[in-house]
Amino acid sequence: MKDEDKELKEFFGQMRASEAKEIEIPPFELPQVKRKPSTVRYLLPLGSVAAALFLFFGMDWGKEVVESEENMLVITMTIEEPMNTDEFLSDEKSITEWKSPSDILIQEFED
Amino acid sequence: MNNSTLESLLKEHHTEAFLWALQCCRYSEDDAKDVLQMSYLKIVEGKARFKEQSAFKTWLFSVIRFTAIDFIKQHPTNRSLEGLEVAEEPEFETTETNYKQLLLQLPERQREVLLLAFYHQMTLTVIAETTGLHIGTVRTHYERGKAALRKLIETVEI
Repeated sequence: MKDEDKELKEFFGQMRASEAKEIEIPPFELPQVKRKPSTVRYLLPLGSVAAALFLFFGMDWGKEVVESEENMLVITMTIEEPMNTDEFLSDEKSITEWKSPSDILIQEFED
Repeated sequence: MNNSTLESLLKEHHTEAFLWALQCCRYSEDDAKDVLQMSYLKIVEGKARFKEQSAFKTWLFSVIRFTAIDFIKQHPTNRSLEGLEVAEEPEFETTETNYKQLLLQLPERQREVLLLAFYHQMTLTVIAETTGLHIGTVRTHYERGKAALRKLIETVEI
């Protein structure tokens, strides 16, 4: 701060000294905070118990599955047409067995 | 920062904190006590957290200032400057109240800046941190406040 502020420094210095005499500072006291117990704190064990119960009773551990015949749904699959593979066999003759359509004429000429 | 460290720091700054609360509440002791307790409550509850980005005093003063602003907004009736009728006082006696009355004639921001600078020995940079104002704005309030207070001091004999 500059020297020209001397007057102001004195002003605030006197003010501070005056207030130190006049003002009564209240004793230091921190407010006591009662922390709200979190609802999660109560819900967490309840949730765990519920999950455990569900697993224990809901999953039927180790039991054989027995179904009554009345409620059974039977799906039967049948093949209506017998499997026939003839259609896959070709009637076409092999190329080695091929004869020319004019083959007969040639034979007649030889006779 | 653990609770015991925080408590010891608050205890260490308690007197300064109360004086600052008092100044923020325009010297109403009851309001200052309430504001300080509300500030401490904010700190204890963790609503205001010291992140060690500034000095503890700077942070604490900032918490008190903003708490006081909220408090005054919620209880506006008792705290209008007009109610003090300071300007109508013809002469000031050389008592403790004169300082307050002179300061209360300054605009609020100028008064805050001057109190933080001269009374609480803060630099302008620290004042900017405490008040959340730009350093340039703080400097302007500082210079204008000084000029205004000098004039006021000249008009009265202290």
